[in-house]
Amino acid sequence: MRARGGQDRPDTAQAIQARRDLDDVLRRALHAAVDPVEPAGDGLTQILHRLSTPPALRQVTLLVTDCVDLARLITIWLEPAFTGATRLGRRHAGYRRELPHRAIRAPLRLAGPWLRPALAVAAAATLVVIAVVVLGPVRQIVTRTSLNASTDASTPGRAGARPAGAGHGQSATANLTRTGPVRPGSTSAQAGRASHRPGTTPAPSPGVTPSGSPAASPSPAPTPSKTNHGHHKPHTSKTKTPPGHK
Amino acid sequence: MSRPLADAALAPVPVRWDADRAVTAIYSDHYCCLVRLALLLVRDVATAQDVVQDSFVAMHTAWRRQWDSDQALAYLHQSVVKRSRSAPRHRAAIEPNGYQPGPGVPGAELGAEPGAPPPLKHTAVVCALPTLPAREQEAVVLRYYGGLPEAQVAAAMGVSEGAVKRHLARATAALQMVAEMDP
Repeated sequence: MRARGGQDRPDTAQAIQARRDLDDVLRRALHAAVDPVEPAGDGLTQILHRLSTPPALRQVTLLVTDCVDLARLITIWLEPAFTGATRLGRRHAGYRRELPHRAIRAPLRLAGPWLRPALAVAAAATLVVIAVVVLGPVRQIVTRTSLNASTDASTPGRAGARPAGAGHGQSATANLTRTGPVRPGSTSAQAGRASHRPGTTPAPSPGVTPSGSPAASPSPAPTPSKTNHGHHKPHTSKTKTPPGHK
Repeated sequence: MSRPLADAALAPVPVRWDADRAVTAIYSDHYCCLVRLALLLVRDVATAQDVVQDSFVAMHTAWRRQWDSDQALAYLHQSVVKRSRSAPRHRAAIEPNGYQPGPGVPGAELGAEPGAPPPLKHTAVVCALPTLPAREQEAVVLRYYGGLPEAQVAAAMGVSEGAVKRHLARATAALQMVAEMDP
């Protein structure tokens, strides 16, 4: 057993050494292969250019490029069909004895060179129209989302400046939705607090009224949306079933 | 020989850095290495640059999730590998005569246009690399050119560590035969 083990050890060591040699060879070969290659120096400029391009425009550019590629592909795929159709037309024309041979073949010859580019352009135009039709609603949704986001982002200063127990950090939109149904004599907690504050009048929308001290907001800007969204849901549920309506 | 990607230690990117500064810092340290890594996968300089630039743009977009340089670099590796997979497929689809790979195929030169970088040295191993399956190529390039440990290779490829070991074992066995045949 020992003798056999003793024989195996050199083999194992040799295998390990061979493996290390191969690893070394691979590393050297790969580095020697591509290390002389120097990429273009304007890489950062191109990256920044791509970043500065509006995402929608970039997507549209990519979409148009893909449409053109697709049109080329369609043209290539349909080429055998065109050729077959042309041959078929020629054969069919050959059987027509009553008309002169050239008179039948001439339209086919004329149609041949025009047909493919025309079909490619038509296909590309169709795809672009479809893309525009699809992108229109998407753009509207994005615009609405960004509007909502900007509304939310403008809120935290006000939410933070509010007294600690006043609103639990809810957004202005939440306030608007809450204060809408609240009447002066309602039993809502929010309305009660507003009426108990000295010097405040029961304004129709206290959430929209800018608070006096922006420096009082303890939390800086970085995470406004998370805080707002976190507290947004319970208040909207309150809006659905306000305590005054019970 | 340039330093491996894993050894090229970055100063840790502070959490407060914005995406622009992080992209600039990581670009200056890793762009060339990443382009070369992508070049080994896509075998075309322009495509490799496109792939890496797209990866940087994606990293910039996803920067909120990337809080340090290691995670950013891991994201870049993953993005480069994924985009390197799809780029040749896209090119093969749009090129009427089919995609012709560059180096690795004897006689094919890298960068045919004037002013292009010098062609790859066609060592036997580099020539044999494109003959391997795609996943084995990725594993070999990330492990031996990128100098990444197997766990990071697995993360970049989106597979398990065991799969990486399997890919590497098969690839090295195939390349060993090539290296032994080469005088």
